[in-house]
Amino acid sequence: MKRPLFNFILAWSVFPFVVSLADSDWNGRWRLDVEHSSALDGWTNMDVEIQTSGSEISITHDMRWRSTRVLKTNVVNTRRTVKIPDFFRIEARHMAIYAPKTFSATVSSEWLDGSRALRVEAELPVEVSQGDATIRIYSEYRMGEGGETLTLIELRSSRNNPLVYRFRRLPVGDSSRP
Amino acid sequence: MNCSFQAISLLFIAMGSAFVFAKEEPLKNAYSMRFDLDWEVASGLPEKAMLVSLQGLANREEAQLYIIHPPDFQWEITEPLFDFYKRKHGVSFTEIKTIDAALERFKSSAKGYVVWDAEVGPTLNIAFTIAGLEDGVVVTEALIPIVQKHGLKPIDDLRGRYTGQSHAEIYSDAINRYWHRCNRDKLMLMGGHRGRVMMPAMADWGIRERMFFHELSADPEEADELVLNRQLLEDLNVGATVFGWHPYGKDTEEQSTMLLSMYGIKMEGLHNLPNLSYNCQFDFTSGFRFTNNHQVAKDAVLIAEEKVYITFVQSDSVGIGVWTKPGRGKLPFAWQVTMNWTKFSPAALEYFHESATPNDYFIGGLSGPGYMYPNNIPKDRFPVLMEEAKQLMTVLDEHVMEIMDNSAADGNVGNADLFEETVDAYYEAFPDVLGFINGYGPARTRDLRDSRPMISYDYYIDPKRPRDEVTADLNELITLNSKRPYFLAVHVRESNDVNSLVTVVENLEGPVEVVALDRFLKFAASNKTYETRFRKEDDPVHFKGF
Repeated sequence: MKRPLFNFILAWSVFPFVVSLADSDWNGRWRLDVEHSSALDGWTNMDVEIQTSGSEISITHDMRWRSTRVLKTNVVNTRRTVKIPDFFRIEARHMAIYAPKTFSATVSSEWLDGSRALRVEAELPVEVSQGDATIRIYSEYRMGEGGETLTLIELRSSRNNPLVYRFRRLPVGDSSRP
Repeated sequence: MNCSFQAISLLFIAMGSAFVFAKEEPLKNAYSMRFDLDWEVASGLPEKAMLVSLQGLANREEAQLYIIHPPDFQWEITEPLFDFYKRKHGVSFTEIKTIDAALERFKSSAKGYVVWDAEVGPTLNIAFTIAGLEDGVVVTEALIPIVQKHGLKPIDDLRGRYTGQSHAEIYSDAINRYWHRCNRDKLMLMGGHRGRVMMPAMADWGIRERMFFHELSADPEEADELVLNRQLLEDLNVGATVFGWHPYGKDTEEQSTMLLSMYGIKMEGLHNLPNLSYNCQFDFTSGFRFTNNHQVAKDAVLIAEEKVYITFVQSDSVGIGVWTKPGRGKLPFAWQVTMNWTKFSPAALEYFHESATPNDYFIGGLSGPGYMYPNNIPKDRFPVLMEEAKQLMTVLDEHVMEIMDNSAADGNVGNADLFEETVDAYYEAFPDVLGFINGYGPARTRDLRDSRPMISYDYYIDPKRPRDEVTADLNELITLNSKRPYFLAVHVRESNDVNSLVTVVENLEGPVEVVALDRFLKFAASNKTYETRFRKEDDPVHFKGF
């Protein structure tokens, strides 16, 4: 296939997404579909709230464990790599993998597929029983058609199994917590 | 038992002798009843409460009545133990099938009845307290005719007395009325299930021993109850034991156990542990002596290879969970023994011992001669309590102490670590152990002094976690702890299926060997690839304490 023709077809193939998704379409709260997601460990449920502002994307995890609530926000930037102190990861809390007392994760991010997906890649130090180690986490957030579902696929350098979390958008004004 | 047995047994323990008792042989003819799983206040509870109160009275002087629970009951060993009594102690049981027949047989043990108010849950505990003091059975209004039919007279009637009152008001009144007459060495924390379902299967023991029953909260946010709770604990004799369990939904296990530990009091659970009034009257069988399945001599030196060593430990009391389920014996497993059962339930310990496979290895715990949180034990009580634990471990032929302090944890997650001074105290108190295991959920207290490692769990297996995720979790820990040898201690929650763990082990990556806990500790002593760490003052805590 000649290059111009290829580019034309490619452009049209992604066009529907490009026109239908702005960054702000991601804004909102999303609740985990526990039944259709990888099993949480040491957490009962979670919401994710996403807010975009220019190149900054704020990703808030609202976690529940029994009566305990944890609210943590990572702010990534699609234009540059950032250092995020106390970076939150969806950890399996029955594993002896701890966040060091003070640490920063190196985090890069970018919109993919015409803002239909968001890549967040973090390299963060952890403490294990043998001392310090590093985990690289590749997270891809994918918006479902119609904008009502969100899928988070997480790959870790230390784990051969991907973790898949599926969310449903909460209605605007829904102030319930997970 | 006349409880002088305890003093005699401890004397023998102190002498380091074999376990030989001078107790009278219990009755060879006894009675049994079978319970179902209906503990609802609106249906099954009233009859069961009456029967366990009757059991406590019937068993006060002699071992007469044993209750068998279905296999799905949390304490799954009642049927195997029933068989053990027949087989090893020669007891012949006659089954009693109805409440009417039970009253007919044992009415002479009771002087009367106490009526509790099913609309006011705490009145059941008040009724149990009165029943122990006045030799009564506890009944709801609906059961009055049947006890009257058997000639029992009213002792007290709690209907209406506490209507509309708070738990603090109710128990404050009960303390004023009854506490001065109750046992000060034993207290019954009859909490656990509350509301629609209550499960006071341990009440027989409390009634037999004339204990005060309560369900007062240890949550500082329920200050009026906490004050009363502390008053009871302060009044107990030194060395006392609290039986039962914390009240679900009012406080947490962590708050309750921390509070008891602050007074140096031992905890023996659960609220639904049945038949202690019967079990306590039996010794070990003649000539019986514990011999653990040691895989390695105490003074042996093992050298770790460049591989991953995994060991599995089950610590939720050996009587709960997986012991009677298929698969046990396929993997080396350490089982934390409720050591105080040498005093309260020797036959149960002998049953576990005789049914152990070569892969079952018993260890001491939990933290001491009962369930305690050692960071919180008063310094002057710690050596005394650990001396008691050490003596029990000698009797049980145990070489490893398991420690758990969840006072800062959040259930099976969070901070389960030991302060350095606590670790120091354990090393001083137990010079002859092979080592220590710490945690419930994962923890990061680790040390090695002379040849005794202290290793915390790197992983806790939630029974509901899919097995492929468990496999992936363990493989991830193996990846992140990249030095070899790597010592991976795994806590197996009570209801996990051993067969499923066999599959998990088969799918681990790298040079992995599952070893018995004693060999694990010996290997861990040979090459310290783990970092020394203790709880730090600024580590995250869930409950800030009292």
